Amino acid sequence: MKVLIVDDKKENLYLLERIMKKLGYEVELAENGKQALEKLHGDNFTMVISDILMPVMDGFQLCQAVRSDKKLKDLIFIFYTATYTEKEDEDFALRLGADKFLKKPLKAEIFIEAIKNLIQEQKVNQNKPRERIVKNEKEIMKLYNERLVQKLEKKILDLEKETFVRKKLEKNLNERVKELTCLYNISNLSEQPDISMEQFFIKTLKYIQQGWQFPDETCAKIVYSGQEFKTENFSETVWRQKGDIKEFGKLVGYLEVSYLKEMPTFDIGPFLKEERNLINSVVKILKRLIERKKNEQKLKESEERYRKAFNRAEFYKDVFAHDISNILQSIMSGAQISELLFKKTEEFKDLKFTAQIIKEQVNRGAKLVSNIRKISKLEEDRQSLKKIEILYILKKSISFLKKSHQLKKISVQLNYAEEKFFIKGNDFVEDMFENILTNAVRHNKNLIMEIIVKISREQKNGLSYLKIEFLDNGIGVSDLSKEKIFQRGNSQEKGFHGMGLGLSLVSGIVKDYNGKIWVEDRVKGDYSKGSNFVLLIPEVD
Amino acid sequence: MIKIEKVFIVDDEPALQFFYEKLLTMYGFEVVGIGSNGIEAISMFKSFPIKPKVILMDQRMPEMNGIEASKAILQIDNRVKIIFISADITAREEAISIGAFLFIDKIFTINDLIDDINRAIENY
Repeated sequence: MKVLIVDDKKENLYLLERIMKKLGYEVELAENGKQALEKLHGDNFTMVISDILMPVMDGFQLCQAVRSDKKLKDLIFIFYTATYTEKEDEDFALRLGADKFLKKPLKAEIFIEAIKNLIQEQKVNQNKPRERIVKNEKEIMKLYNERLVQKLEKKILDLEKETFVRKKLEKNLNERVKELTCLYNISNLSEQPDISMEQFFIKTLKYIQQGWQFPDETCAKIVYSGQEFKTENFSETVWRQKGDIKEFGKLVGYLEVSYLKEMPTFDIGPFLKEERNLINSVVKILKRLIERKKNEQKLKESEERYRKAFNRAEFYKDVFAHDISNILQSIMSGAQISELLFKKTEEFKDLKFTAQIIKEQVNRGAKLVSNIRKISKLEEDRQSLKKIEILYILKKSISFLKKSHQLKKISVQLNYAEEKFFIKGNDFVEDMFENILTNAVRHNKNLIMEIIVKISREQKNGLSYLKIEFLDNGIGVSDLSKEKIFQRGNSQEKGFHGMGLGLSLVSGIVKDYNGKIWVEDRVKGDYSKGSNFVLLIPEVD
Repeated sequence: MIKIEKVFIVDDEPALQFFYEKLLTMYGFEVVGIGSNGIEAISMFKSFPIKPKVILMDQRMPEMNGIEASKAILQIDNRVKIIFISADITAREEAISIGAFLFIDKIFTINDLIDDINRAIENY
């Protein structure tokens, strides 16, 4: 048995061919009614399965031609259609003499079932001639035209519907593209390594405006850590949406997008639900950027701290190595000179002086070690400050100075008006005084080393300060060095040195006490006449 | 008569000033002066009517370091033998490159120093 399948769509032909071959039919294919007629005339077929809507000659015309043809009119004719699916279409098809009207799409088993049933019916009605119900050509034409017109109208209607849907889709697509562009721009912006937060916020607001459905009526602002960033056209309205900005889980601000006037209602208020999502996404980018910036900042600070600590360590190492070398060299030379002098005992005075220098150098070495320890302790843990009487400590420091320089003639004059002076200090007060006093003696070439210590009061910005001055007749400090001698951790200043670590320590202590230290010439304008080290420390009652 | 050789000491460390002077005197040298920093060293050197043959020069000093002072002093008298004494060995190369005779690391012994000074005088 042979079947002719007629359809203008290749995939339909292929599908039906396979089904029919499975059912045991020999299959021929045609792409339209005209081709089908040619094939039907050329061979013996049992059955035609035809689509309706086809170019050149449609299924209705084919059916009419088959049923009008003496040779072909007994063929089994089945319509299998996707477009002409109305009740009227089916009626017309049956009136044209079709045996079956099937609507696409059908599951293969249902289609097969329908074909089998039809074959069965054909066998039962074998002797009944199949004829078309409508004989009148005119009526057929009329009905056919009706089907065509109706199809056309439906097509137009469908087309209108489709256009409407397409336009809506286009608008949606357009919005999505705008939103994506907005997100892409903001995301790109956040990748820029050296962008500042301000720049980022301002540009983000601009991109948001462009990404919204009605850019001209959209305004936005970002509030972050008490700062506000707004689009130029910003104004408070009721048509707004907000997204919280979080930083390591903590709420730090928000992003707000508003319409300047009432807008047509969309999914959420006047907004699209995608715009809600967009706000959420932007807020997430903001969060990431802020956290990244904060981390970068922390890293920078940590690097800076590390660099400073490294420089300080280098400086201390440098001073330590230099001073220790001098100390050791002095001890070595002193010991060797002592040996030589022992051989000439008449130089007893020099021998005694040499021994004294050796002792001094050992003390100096010990002091250097202690100062290094104290500086690092001062930096490590800020000791809490308590009320301390300083005159007592000052007197103790002066007697320590004299004891540790027994061969030197040191005269210290202490001028003060009262018996007790209080500051907020700690255990380092003693180190502060000792280092200033030792310094005055170490850098002094006079036979009699004179030091005058004056304590007075000074009012500054409504606060009461104790002014402690240490005047000496030492070698003095040139203007070039007046500031440098207090600088600490500055290993770039290798050319300058000579003060050991004593003044670095003093300057650190004074800073902790909210005080100030500086050096003046004892005789104004002539530094070689000696120095005046001045301490200014807040007084407490 | 043995000629007494003149030596100029430049060091900011008072203890070392005393020892160098004592030592050189004991070994028969004449210490023509003691400078405590680079600037002082230059002006003192200018003022010597008879220039010393040897300078013991510290590197690290306040106001001006030994290298800078040596440059200026060698401009005044390029025959003078400058012996650097420093713990800062990073200055060694520069000291030699500007024309210093020798660079001695601290810590040295008296015998070494006297030998070096004598060598400098022989090369004068």
